[in-house]
Amino acid sequence: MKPVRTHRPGEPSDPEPPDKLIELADAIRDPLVQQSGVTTTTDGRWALYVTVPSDAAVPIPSVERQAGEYPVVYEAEPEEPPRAGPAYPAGASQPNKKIKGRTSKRD
Amino acid sequence: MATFGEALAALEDFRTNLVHEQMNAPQPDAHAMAFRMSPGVMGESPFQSVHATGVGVKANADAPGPADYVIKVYVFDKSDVQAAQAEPLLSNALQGVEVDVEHLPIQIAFTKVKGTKGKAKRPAAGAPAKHQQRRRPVPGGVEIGPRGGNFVGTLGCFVRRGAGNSGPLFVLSNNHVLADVNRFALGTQFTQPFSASPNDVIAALSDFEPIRFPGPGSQPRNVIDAAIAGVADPNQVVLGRMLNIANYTPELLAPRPGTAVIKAGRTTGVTTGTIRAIRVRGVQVNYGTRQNPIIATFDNAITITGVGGVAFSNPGDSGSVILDQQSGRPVALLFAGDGATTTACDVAAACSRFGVRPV
Repeated sequence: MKPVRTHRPGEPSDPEPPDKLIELADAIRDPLVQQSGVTTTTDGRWALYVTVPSDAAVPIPSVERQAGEYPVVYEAEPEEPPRAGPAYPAGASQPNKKIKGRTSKRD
Repeated sequence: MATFGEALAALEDFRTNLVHEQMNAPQPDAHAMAFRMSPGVMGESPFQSVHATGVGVKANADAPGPADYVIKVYVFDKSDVQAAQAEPLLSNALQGVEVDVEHLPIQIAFTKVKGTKGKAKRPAAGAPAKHQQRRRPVPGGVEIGPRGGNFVGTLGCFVRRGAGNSGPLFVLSNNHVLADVNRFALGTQFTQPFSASPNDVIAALSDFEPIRFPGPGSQPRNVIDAAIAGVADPNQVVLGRMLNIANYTPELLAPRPGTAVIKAGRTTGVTTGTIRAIRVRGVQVNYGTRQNPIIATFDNAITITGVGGVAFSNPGDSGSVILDQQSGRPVALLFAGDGATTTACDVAAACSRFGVRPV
């Protein structure tokens, strides 16, 4: 099975996520896991959220083992990172900016 | 074939997949764009020709029944109907629902509106133009930019330091809007809207949380992309108001997965979405360009998807405060996106960092 592209969480069954799940989301480690967090399943159970490569086979045994009692939602990692940038309105030139002292990383 | 309900259920996933394919499709060069209206010139991908999707019946159906619904895909160019057959997304059934590609050229509306003879009526959805106009008094959710600069973002909301109503007032937005990613000096003036005129100045940069980028031997993590700017004249702003969102309530609320959210932003106006995940760690965000990426890593992020396949945000919406749709309470601060997913940071953490609260 492949990870879903866009997970659709349900209304949480309990208002607060379990502390143990929050700790798990911070601690989860697996070479295929790129991002981890907290979500709910479509039927509202609190779940571990992980993003993995879109061609990864899921469920991943080591992730399931670490998740223990919690369900795991696998979502496909976007192919490009999201961009944080302003808009350049009409009439304003877009500069070729560099951030001094920073290293740039090419994918 | 499927029932209307089945087709509608499949449509949302189809649109998500389509956005993904469109983002990854080869981009036409300037020459191709210049001749966009010539059928077949684009050629690279039928995905770029898709301009509308929905639920309907097959183009050649004579007498459609109640279970004859399909996902409809409309393309500008007739040649792309044939080209679509080679693309699995445009030719294979999704969740048992057939996909039907149909040629529909650009539609130009000449609706005659009273008092506007010959002018087409503008769509009201989102109403982004209203968020780019000069507003006095200034509410949240409108365009803001450095005075005489060349970029714009969104004024998220107003915040106040200290208890009561006498503490100083600030604008809350992103670092990359108010501090231009750690570059601007404190005191840099901001106008509403984008302007070089001193008459449009409403605030000046007061403080920002630096965005930390990887360096030799260091892989720093970020939690917020946030900054505040001191309001120049409190009489020029209106508190407790978010443009075009009636129920704005300036009391922080913890984000929850599955929560319906709404935001007012400079570029897309008012849009709605759903929180997909919270406390997401390891989110890589590009502060450069596609060609020259500059990556920072964020923890404790919140991811959001637009409703009905419509993008929740676009560039220029950065700095928008995202609200719980039902209560109008702030749950997140928008700072990045990829067209399909919007990434936000914890607005409560931002307020805590600057010792302020929404007002």
